[in-house]
Amino acid sequence: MKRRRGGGRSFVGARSARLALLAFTLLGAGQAWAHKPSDSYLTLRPVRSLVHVKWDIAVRDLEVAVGVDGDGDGRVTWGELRAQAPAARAYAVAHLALTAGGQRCVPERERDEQVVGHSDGAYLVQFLVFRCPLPVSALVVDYSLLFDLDAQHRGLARLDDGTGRVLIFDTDRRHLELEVASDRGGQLQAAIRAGVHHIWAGYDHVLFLLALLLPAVLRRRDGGAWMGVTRLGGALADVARVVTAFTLAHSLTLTLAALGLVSLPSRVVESLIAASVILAAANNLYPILRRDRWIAAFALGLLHGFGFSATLRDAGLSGAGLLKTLFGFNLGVEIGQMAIVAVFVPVAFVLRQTRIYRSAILLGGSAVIVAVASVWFVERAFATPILAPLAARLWSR
Amino acid sequence: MFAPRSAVGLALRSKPRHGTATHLRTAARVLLFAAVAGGVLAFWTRRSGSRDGEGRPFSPANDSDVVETLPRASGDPHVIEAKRLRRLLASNPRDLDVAARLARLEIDDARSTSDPRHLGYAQAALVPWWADAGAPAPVLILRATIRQSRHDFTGALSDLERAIVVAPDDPQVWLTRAVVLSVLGRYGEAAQSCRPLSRIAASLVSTVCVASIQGITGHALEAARRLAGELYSVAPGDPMRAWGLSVLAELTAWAGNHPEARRLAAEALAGDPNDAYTRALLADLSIADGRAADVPPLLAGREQNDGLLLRLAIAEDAIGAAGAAVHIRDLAARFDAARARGDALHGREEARFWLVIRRDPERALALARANWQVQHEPADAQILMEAALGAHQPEAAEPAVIWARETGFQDPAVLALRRRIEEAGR
Repeated sequence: MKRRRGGGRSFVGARSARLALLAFTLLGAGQAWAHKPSDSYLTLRPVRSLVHVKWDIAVRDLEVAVGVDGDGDGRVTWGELRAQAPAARAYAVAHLALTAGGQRCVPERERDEQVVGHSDGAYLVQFLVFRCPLPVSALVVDYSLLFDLDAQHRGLARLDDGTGRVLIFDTDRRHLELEVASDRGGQLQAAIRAGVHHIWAGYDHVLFLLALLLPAVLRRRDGGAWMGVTRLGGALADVARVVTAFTLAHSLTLTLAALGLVSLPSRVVESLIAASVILAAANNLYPILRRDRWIAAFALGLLHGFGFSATLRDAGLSGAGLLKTLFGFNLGVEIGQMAIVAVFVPVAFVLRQTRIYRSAILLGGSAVIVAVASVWFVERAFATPILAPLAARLWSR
Repeated sequence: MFAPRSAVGLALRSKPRHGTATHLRTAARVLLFAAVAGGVLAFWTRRSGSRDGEGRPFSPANDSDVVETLPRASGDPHVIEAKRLRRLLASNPRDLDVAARLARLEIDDARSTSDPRHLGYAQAALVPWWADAGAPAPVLILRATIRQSRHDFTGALSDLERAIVVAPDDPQVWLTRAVVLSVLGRYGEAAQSCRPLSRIAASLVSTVCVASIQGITGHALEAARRLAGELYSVAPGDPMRAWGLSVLAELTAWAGNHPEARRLAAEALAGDPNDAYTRALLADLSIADGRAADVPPLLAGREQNDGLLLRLAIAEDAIGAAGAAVHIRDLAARFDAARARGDALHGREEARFWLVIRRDPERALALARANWQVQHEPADAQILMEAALGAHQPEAAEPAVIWARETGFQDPAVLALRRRIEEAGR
């Protein structure tokens, strides 16, 4: 019996090579297959005469289709994958045809490839844009990725036109024609939604906001001691000023970045954002800035705006409808922040006179934020993952 | 919506108590509004979230970061051979000999890795004949194997019925046919299909074929005795032995002797550690016998296999292990991914997931019933009975009870379930 190299995570369920067929069919015929078969995931986002395509293809499938394990050691590094990205793209676009108004749309690369994890492993993410001769109202999709190699491969495409329809391509279903919802409002809605989602899903922004919000229901006396504010309305108005200053500032830099007028390396921006969270929280512990916090918020907002641009690219930003998308996204960010304000401030207001609020929540909370943001800073500035491996170890034990 | 500032301010100064009450009321009102608005927003934005099991795209920091470990390095002999055959086939896709060799190699790999991608590769090699009812004999048996793996048992059977005519001396045809008939619950015909094996295959093959069916039809003990006797004469190093031991372990479990079944399964695993079916069997026996703590060490490092991940999650959930939450989440993501691609191959496993881990017997019952439409193995009957009892709908288990009565299946666990259902029905 042949032994294969141990340790490979897919080497499960082996039977002897010689008797395999016998054993396999006799045992476990009704059992489900142990692994997930091959799928690719597409998101198609038609915007006027463009179709933005985000396409996740499994690294394992790319190995079979174009070869991505340059040194043949079974471990695909980011460098190896990047080196083969042009081949992967050539392979991909040769197996996806979009047709609008009877004419083929011409694919090109929109931006750098990335990597994403799905339930069964790593996928290369390609960002393409197909230029069609006419505004897209009806789209014909011909999909044939991997079908010549893997007859059980499927393509799962989500149409991002506000309807969120999902199309499944397989060897018997390679050709689909669909009407694109010409829902202009849908685009704006999607942008607003992306903005809200971005705020709520991005821990660093939530923490930054909390750092600003924690002292909002308190005021410093001249001696430096805290005292509660008297009016909830006043506290809310104060906070709204701070948050709106932040939104205005980041929409400014975000627009500049999105238009391609200014661009900063994302590592620098992300590190500075972490630093700004540290500063915002530290200011609660050792006050530097007592009044006019909105000025600080504005300054930091300028910085955070550069950080948003990556997210916005994920949302599929393009020349057409750019301003509307930008507006929607910023509006979404503001709505998302205001929602947090509306929940946090009233609770804080009620608790503001208590000792728990002043020591545990204000000082303790700020200290925690400083600590977490410091870890982020180190992770981002020196590209050293700390939290994820730690969490993984905690989970596994 | 806020109280007028002056009023609040005044109240605070003159009547502090009343002031606090006003503040509280205002705060409560703002909170209520925020909660409603937040709920609506949360529901609305949820749709812009990522798909199941999908993280956020990222750019690895260094070129040397490993993004994926391939199940096989490109220097693996099987990979090289498959590549060579694929190249040959590309120049002449209708070369039956090359296509069959490639398909066989890939089916072998599918089995040794539990990875269904290889079945897709095998099927791709057979494309010129895939829809051809009169396909040549080598294609028929390979196509039947692939169809069976997709749980297309009727399609597989029709291929095999043709194959026994054109290749009556191929043991694989008769054995596969026996298995498919057995999964479909047609035990008489399945036993018939084992018969020619005594003439054309090694005697252990024939014994295992017959014993597997006898085990279901109420003669597990007898079948186990005969198989055990046969295994005496098989040399310890023979890979056939691990296979026979695995079947023997299952028969012994059906005969009610779990400790002995666990011992046999462990022995089979020692001979063939990569046999996922036997590993799952041993895990199931351990869980059933209140030895869930034995399961995590048994399955560690094999989480990529959905079937084993299910057992691991059940065991960890039972003993309150720390890893349970992560494994349950991963498992749910895999079921979701399977559903997204339109697969319905996980019915038995998913029903068990919903019954045992999610504790949602209604949902489990719906899945178990749909699964019973496709396949009738003991495990399918058992999960249908368990889900029906859990959902307080014993009548829903009727097809499984009839199956158990008609086959005479003797597994004590299934007998006990049957009794409970029959009593509940009275």
